[in-house]
Amino acid sequence: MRLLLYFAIPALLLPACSSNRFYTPNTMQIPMLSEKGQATVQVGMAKNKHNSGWEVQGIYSPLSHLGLMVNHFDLHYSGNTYTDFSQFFYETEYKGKTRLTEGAVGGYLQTGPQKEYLISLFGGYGKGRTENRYLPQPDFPGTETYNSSWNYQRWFIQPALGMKYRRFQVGTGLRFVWVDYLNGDINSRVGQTETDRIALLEENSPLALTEIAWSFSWHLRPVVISLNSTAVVRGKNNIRELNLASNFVSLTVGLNLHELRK
Amino acid sequence: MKKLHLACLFLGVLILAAACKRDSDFNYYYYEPADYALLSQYLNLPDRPENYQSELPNHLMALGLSVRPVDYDKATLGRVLFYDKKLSKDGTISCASCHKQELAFADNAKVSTGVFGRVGDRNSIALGSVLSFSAYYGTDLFGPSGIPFFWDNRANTASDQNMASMTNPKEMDMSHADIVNAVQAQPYYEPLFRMAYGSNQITEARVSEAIAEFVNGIGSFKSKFDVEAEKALGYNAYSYLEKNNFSGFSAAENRGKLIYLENCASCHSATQSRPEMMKANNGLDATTVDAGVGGITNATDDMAMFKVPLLRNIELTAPYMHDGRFNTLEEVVEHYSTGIQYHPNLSTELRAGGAQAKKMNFSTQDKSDLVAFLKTLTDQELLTDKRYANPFK
Repeated sequence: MRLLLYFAIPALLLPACSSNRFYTPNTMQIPMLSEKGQATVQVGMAKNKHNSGWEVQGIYSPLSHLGLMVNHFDLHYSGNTYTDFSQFFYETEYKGKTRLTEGAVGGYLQTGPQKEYLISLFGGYGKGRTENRYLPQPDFPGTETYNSSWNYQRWFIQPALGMKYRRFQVGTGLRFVWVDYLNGDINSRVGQTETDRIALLEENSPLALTEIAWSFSWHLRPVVISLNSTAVVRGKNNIRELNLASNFVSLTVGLNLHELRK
Repeated sequence: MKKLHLACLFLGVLILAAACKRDSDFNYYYYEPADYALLSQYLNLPDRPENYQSELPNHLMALGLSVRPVDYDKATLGRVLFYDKKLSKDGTISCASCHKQELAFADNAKVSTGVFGRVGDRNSIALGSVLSFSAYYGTDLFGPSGIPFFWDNRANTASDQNMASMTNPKEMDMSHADIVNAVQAQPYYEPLFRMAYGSNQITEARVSEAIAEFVNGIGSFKSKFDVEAEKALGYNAYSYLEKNNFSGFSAAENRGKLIYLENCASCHSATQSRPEMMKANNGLDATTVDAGVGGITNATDDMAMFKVPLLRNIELTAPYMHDGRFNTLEEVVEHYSTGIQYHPNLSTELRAGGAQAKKMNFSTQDKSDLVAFLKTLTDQELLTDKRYANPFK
């Protein structure tokens, strides 16, 4: 238990990503299922200087050791980036939003001397859309608001480990994701620099990323309040310049539906 | 166990599906589709602006020269304006009428004909040399105003130059209001102005700035001379010109190069980068026929003085001199060989001493070699470069 904390607290202290217009991970839902019929719905939010988002997640076990998961993620973000107008480089402000809806199926196992450990393996698929707006640069009267948008699909496999200790729950997991950029419309006037970045994204699609997540929950039956952190920790070398290695921190409030019935 | 098998099967399918490489289909567009459809009705423009930035060869960069960045949207707009005959009083003349790409943006008329058949005063200057470095780098030896425009140096910038031509009664004869009205009347300018300036507000200042952006982007640095100078470039930027033969030059061209360096370069530039002086009297006439710079400054010392042009593409820009009096390079060389007239303002480089005009007395071989060298200054790519071509359908 202590060991988990030692690893987890630094991860949570990482700053939330300052906005990422190419890919931002949603909160990894770490299953805390232990028996058939259990169901949890949780809503989450993330808010800081550059991000404002909400999430809805649900998980249900129709059969023992089998779970179904759904996630919806909706994030608005803003930030600054360097690009060019004709050949004049400048810093431009952008605003954007991304949303993702996905479903997953997986298995779980309760183990440990006191059945306190919950091991799970889920795999899933979802679709999403990202829309970015690059705002006019006052120093360049020729600039307007330019848009880039694309649709993507995402596959993932996530092994996870949860632990329950009285009212406290800790979860951690890895998520191996493949982000597949399907189609998009890019206004090249976002500048050659930014267009090159997007082209790099397209060229390397599907992006194979590894994400790590931590979740700390306080269980007040039937409510579960969680602080979550999900970070991209590994990607292809040639996409590192896209700054995908971001950390997404959210606060979720869950409701264990099966505890309502008891 | 059955559930475990099913789960494994599902994950296997998931991994296979995820591993499949699918081609993304991103549509990169520059103009909004409606804008491009409109432009395409009238213009042959690519779906994104051309790269109008001229790249200097190393042998010029070694001299400390550089070019300013070109705004591609403004240059695109300027290119359309440059070729648009609607910007003239009778709708028959554009900038390109007197600055023809196939002639290195010069005219083959002695003096060009403007609107209503009106005849101009002087020969059209080639624009391939307009990319005037010093005009944008005011700290050089020419001072903050850089290399001026027109034979009489009356304009300090390409914007001033093109506005003066558009409003000249013998050229395009437009008032500022006429220019704005003519541009506003054409539907293709609305998106072009919006792309260049963020709004479709049309002003004469924007018109002239855009034309200048296009004209200032025209670079001509791919002549045989440039190729050879590039090959011969050493750490001393000038030594390669003065001491060594160019390996790719013929014997005649190399001899001509030496003659040029000894007799012409002190005014016209050894490196073909910029003239060594802004104005000169080159002994065309013994008396002042055309006041030239003196007509602008009213200074006695400026009478019959004219802009010293760069000689890039000189082979293509006949007839020569401010009044187009010489039809061939041979005639020009003959003038410097035996025909220089003494004028009180005759350039010191062309004086034999005191009030005597110099006679260079080139041999027949010298003349032929000098012309051979001058022809190495021709940049054939400029003549067909699609970035500078007429965009109208």
